[in-house]
Amino acid sequence: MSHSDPPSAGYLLEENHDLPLCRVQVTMRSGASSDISEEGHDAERGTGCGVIGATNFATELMRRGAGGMSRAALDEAVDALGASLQVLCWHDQVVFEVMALRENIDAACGLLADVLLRPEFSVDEGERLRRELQASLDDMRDDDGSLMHRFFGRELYGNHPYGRPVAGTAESMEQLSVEQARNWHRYHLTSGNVLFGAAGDLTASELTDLLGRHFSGIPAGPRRDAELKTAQAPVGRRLVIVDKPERTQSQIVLGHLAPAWRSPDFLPLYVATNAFGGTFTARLMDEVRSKRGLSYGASARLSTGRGARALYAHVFPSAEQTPETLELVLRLYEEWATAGLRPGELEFSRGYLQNSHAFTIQTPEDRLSLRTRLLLCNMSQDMVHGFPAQVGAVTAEDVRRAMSANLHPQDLLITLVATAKTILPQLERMPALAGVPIEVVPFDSY
Amino acid sequence: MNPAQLVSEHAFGKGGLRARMYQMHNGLRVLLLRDPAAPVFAYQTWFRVGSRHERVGKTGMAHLFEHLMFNETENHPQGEFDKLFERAGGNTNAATWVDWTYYQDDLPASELELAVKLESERMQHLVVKERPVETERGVVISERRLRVEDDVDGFMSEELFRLAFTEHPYHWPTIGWMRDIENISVQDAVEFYRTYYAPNNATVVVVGDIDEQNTLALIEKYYGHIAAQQIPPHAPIVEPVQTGERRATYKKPVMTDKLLIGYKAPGFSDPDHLRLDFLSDLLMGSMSSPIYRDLVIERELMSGISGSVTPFRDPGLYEIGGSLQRGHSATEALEILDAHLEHVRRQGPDAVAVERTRSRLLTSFYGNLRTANGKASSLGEYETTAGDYRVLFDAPDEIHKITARDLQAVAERYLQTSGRTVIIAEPDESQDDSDEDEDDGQDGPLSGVLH
Repeated sequence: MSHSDPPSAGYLLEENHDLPLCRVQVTMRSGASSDISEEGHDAERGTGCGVIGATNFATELMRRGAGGMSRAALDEAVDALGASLQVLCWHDQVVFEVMALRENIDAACGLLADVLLRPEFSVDEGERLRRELQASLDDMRDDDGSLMHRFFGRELYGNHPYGRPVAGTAESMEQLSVEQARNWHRYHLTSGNVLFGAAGDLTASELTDLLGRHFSGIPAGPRRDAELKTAQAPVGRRLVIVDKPERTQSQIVLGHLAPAWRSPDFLPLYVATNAFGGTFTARLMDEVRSKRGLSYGASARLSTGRGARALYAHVFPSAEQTPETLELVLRLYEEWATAGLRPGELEFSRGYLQNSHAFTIQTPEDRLSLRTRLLLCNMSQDMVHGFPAQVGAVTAEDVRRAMSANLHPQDLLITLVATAKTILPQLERMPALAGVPIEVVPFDSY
Repeated sequence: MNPAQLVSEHAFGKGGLRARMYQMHNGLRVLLLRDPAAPVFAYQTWFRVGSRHERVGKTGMAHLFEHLMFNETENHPQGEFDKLFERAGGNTNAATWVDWTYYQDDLPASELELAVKLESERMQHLVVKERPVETERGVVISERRLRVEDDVDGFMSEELFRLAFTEHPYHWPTIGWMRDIENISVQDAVEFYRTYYAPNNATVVVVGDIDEQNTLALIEKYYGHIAAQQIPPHAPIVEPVQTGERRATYKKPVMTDKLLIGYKAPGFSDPDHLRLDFLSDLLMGSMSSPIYRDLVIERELMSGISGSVTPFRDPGLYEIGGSLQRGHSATEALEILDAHLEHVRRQGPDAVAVERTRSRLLTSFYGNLRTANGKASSLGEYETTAGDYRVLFDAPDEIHKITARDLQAVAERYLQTSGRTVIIAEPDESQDDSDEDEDDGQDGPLSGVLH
C-alpha cells in the first residue's frame, strides 16, 4: 500500500489508494524562528524579518488573495472543489497544504501554486489580518493550557527564537506590514528552501506531473534555515504565577532545556522521559492520578525540533491541592533525575516505544509528516521504519549518561496559571519552594 | 456453543474492503472490517448506556464508571490492565456521552488475543472497591474543573443543555453535577455494572490488519460463555415542545463576549439530521460560507463562528457558537445572525453554495475514515446511535441527493426563535474587586468525555 521515494527524487510520496483522497504539501524551511535573526534588525532589511510574528503574518497573508483572486474569490474557488487549503506556521517550518478528492487535486494544486507563487498582498487584507490576530490573542487567553505554554516558553527560552510566540505579541502585531510580507516572500520562497510532499490516492508519475506543471516557477535560490543556537539555560529554580481570576485549578508546567532531536543524547533521554511520564502507567501518572487522584492528567514530554527544546512535566490539580501536587511532582522529578530509572522501567519503556511506533506511521499522512520533519531537522529517514531497532539498541548506560548530562532539578522553571491571591500564600509556605523567587504576572500581559 | 451468525455485510470504500456484522447467541454484536493498510488494529466495545440512563441525584454515574473499568478485575490486579496494553505498544482509552460508552484499544496486529481476552475479562469480572471509587472520584472532579469550572466554553455548553431540556435526561451533563459526583457510592457502581455491562448490551467493533475468521473464533472463545442479562427498558422521554426563547447571561473572566445558541434539532437517524448538518456547513463551515464571511471577515464582529448538530439518538440541539471581537456584543451578532437565518428560511440557500458544500462534505467524510480507529469509531457510533452501521455507507449517496429545497425546509422546521436557547458570557469588569463565584453550582459539559 505504501510507496516511498527518496528525497533526492525531489519529493516525498506516501501512496494509499483505498480512499479517493489526496494531500499535497509544500513545506518551507523558514519558520517563525527566523522572525528575528541572531544578528539583529539591521541584517534583516530585505528579508521581511525583524518583527515577532513576521513569518506567520506573511504566510497567512499569502492565503488571503492570490492568482488575481481576492480573498473571497480564492475562498470560493477552494470551496467549489470541496478542498481545504491551509497555511500552518510553526517555529521550524511553514506548511502550505491542500487536501481534496482525487478528481479535484489538479485544480486544488493550481490554487496552492497561486498562493505560493502569486499572492496578492492586499493592503486591506493586511490590516484585516492584523486585527484578526489581535482577536485570536483574546481567544487564546480564554484557554488556560495555551496560556501556560505561552508564558512557559517565554520564561524558558528568553530571547531565543523559540521564546517568541509564532503569531507575535500585541505590540509586535502593530508593527507588521504588507511591505514586510512582500519582502519575506521574495527572500524566503526559493527552490532550495521548499520541500514537496504528497499522501493518498496519487502515484509517483501523477505527482511528478502535478509538481512540474504547477510549481516549476519557484525561483532558484538557497535554503534559508539558519542554524539555531541553543538558548541560554536559566540557572536556579524560579516560579512564575500567571495570574487569572476565578481559577478552581492550577495548570502547572515545570521543566528545563533539553538536547536537540538530532543530539545523540536525545533518544536515551526520550526513553527515560517516556518511563517517567509518557504513558498512562508511567511513574508520574501512577503517583499523581492513579494512586492519589490529584489530577486528571500527569505527563512528561521531550520536545522535538531543529534546535534544542524543552523537557517538561504537566499536571493540573485543584487550587487547594496545588501545594501537595507540586511538592509531589518536584519530589518525583528529583528522584527520577538523581536515582535514574527503576528496575523494569527501561525495558518497559523501550518495549512500548518499539511496539507503538506502528501508530506513529499508521497513515500515509503520518508517514509524510514524520519524513518531512526529519528532512527539516537534517536527520536520517532511517527513523521512519528503523525507530524500533534504534530504541532497542538504547542501553541502560546510554540512559544513565543522558540523564546525568541533561537533567537539572536545581534549574527547574515552574509556571502556573492560577489565581494568585489564592495560590501565592500556599506556595510561600511550601518547604520545597523555600528561597525560590516567585513572580506574579497578569494573564493578559503577554 | 452456537457459532456467531452473520447478520449483514456491506462494501467499504473502493479498495475491496467489506464490513460484516455477526451476532452471538448471548446477544453480543460483532462488527469486523479487515483493513490491512497498516499492521495495527482498533478494538472497540460500544455499550448502549450513557448519561441518559442515569437518574436525578446520580448524574455522572456512566462516566465515573467508565473510569473504574480501568481498575482491578478478578484475574488482574490494579494497574495491570493498562500495563499489559502498553507493554504491547498499545493505547487504551474510553469515552462516555449521552447515549453510549465505548472503550477503545489500538494495538499492533500481533496482539489481537490480548485485546479480546482483557476486554471480555472486564465485561464480566471487574472488581469494584471503595478505594478506586474514591481515587477516580478525585480524578473526575479534576476533569470537571478542567472542562467546566475553568473553561468558559464548557460552562456555556453545560448551561445550554440545562436550560434547553427540562424533562429529557439530555438536561444534565455527561460528566455529572459536582454534588452528584461527590455522592456516588460503591453500591451505585456495582449496581450500574450489573445492570448495563452485558454482552447483549454491547457491540464489539474490530477494524484493521486482522484475519476475520480468527478474530471471530477468539471472540467466541472469550465472550461465548458470558450470560446475557435483562437490560431494563427505558421508556422514551419526549421533551415538551419549546414555545419561547430561553436566554441567560453570565459574567465570566473572558476578554470578549461569547455566544452559544441551541436550536431544537432532529435525532441522529432522522433524515433531517444530515440535511441540517449540511445546511450548517453551508452557512458557516468554511471561509466562503455566508454567515462566516459576513460576521467574521466582512464585519469583523466575531473572531470565529461554527455550528454542529448533536449526534444524539433522540432529538438534540443544533448548536451555533463563537467569540466576539472587542467593541462588539453578543446581542449585536445575534441580530445579524437572525437576519441570515430568516433569509434562508424565506429564500433557501444559493444553488452554487449547495454544490460547494456537497463537495466539501464528501471530502470531509472520507477524511474521517483514514485510520483504523477512525473507521471503527464511525462504525460503532452509527451502529449504536443510529441503530445500523450501514447508515454510515449511505451518507455519501444522501449527501449527493440533498437539494436547496430540502435545506430551506429544515431551516423552516428547526431554525425558529421560539425553539432556541441562548447563552451569553460577558467580561466580568468587577473581577478584580470581587470574590463572588458566578457559578450556580450546576456543572458539566455535554460532550464526549474521555477516560
